[in-house]
Amino acid sequence: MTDQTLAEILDAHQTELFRYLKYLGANHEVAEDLVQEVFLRAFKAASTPDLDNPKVRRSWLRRIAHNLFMDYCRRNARSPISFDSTAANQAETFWQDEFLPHDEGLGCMEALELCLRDLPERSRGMIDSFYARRSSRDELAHDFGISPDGVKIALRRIRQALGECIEQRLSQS
Amino acid sequence: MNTEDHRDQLIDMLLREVVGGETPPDVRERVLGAAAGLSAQPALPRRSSPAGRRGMMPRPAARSRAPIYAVAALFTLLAVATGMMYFRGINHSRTPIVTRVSGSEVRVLGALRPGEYVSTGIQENAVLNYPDGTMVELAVETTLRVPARSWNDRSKMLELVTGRIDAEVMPQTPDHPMVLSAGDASAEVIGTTFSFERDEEGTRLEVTEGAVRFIPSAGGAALLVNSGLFAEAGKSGVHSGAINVPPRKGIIRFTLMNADSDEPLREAPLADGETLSLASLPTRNINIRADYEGGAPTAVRIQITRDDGRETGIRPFASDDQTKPPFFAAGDYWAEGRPNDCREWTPQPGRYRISADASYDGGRGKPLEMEFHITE
Repeated sequence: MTDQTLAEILDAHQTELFRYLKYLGANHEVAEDLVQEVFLRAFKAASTPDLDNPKVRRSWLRRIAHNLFMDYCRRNARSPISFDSTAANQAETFWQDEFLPHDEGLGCMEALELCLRDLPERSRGMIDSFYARRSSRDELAHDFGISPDGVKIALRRIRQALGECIEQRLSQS
Repeated sequence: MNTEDHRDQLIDMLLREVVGGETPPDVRERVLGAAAGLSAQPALPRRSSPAGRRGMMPRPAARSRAPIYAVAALFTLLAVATGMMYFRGINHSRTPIVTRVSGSEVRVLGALRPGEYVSTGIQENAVLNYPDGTMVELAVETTLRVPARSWNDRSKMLELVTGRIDAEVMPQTPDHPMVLSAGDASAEVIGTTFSFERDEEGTRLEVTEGAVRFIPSAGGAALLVNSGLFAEAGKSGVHSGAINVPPRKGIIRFTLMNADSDEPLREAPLADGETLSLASLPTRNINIRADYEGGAPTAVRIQITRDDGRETGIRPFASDDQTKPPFFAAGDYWAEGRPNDCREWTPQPGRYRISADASYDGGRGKPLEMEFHITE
């Protein structure tokens, strides 16, 4: 791979790979480190797929990213969530079918922003508190008058509602 | 992981970016800089053939088909070898090995066959080990004998002629417990740590961990001696009571978790042999937390298996070493960021075995192992 090709695939795919790694479960710092490593691995690779085919190229990079994340999980022994080949294929399929077709994921993000506006005030408050202010579960429980047990379920339900809303908006568009 | 899980992770990722402001970084310059450094080094060997560039592997040479009689012979050999290994395995598993002696030599090291004795004198002790890790330590002035038994009996058997032994017994199958006999009583052990002592006054059992069945030779009911208790039988009859147990270090219990709320389902820990009805629980999404005592271990390995060998539904890597508490048998839901988010696990009905091993810088802590039964 030439330096110019590397620069081209960096521009084309670094954002998507970062999101993909976060989707797999990596935190911000780990995802950032691994994205760099993905491109260096790709650059050093003895053989490459057809880099002119965006679909093949993208899939190849995601596979490298996935393998690197799996290695990271094993090394750090934190993450029994680590994927086996079945889970990896499921994740890949979901990403390809549900996220990328919508303007390379941007469609999902735009739909999410619209769906957030439609959220009930209380749900929106919980989302802001958890994701923007990074409140703990106990703080959320206190602020919203629910038990700490219920916070996880409440957040999951809100995400589920957002997922349905996004799906609806995307199907309409 | 089902579609809902993938969708949830996707929405979570999007929310972290859209609401949490965790925008993708630009690593372009860093990568190009590092790549320039790599380019300055001698080029890596690359495949030059067109096939190599396309990622194709050379076609392997055609193999001849093995003759049928060779396969049949192989199976016959395998059957014979399996049978020999089975009988050898029985003998191997029940034969203690003298691995250490101190003081004047009491016996050459090596296997103790049925009918053989091992004795220690004043200021001497010895250690017997079994292949499964069971360890028996002879105190001073102790004589131990390996009794004869049938060829197909897998049970470990020892007869305490006199003196005292301390033992750490790895889990045994209930139908083949380790049996220790003495004049006034015998003990059946499934897996535990205890001491067994015989003198002129009688026979005494002290259990530090687990439980041992104590069977007085004079008759009467067998006693189940639990951790922290002793039982003795002798001239003054049968007695039992509490002993002082030193604090342990390692995994001490399994806590049943509600994976929806990440809170324990109940205060009582999981009990060995317990039957859990999923319908009786407030959720079908559970997890099991391995709790420790005596400082956080540097690593914990938890394994869950099914009696029938079928899949447990737990990720394969859940049995890797975990280095940060809390330690969940079915893992954390999130790889990063929310370490207390235990992963949901809905076990299929069946019998399960769970074990947890804790490691410390100075060695291993006490492992914990038990069985449980899941029903609808």
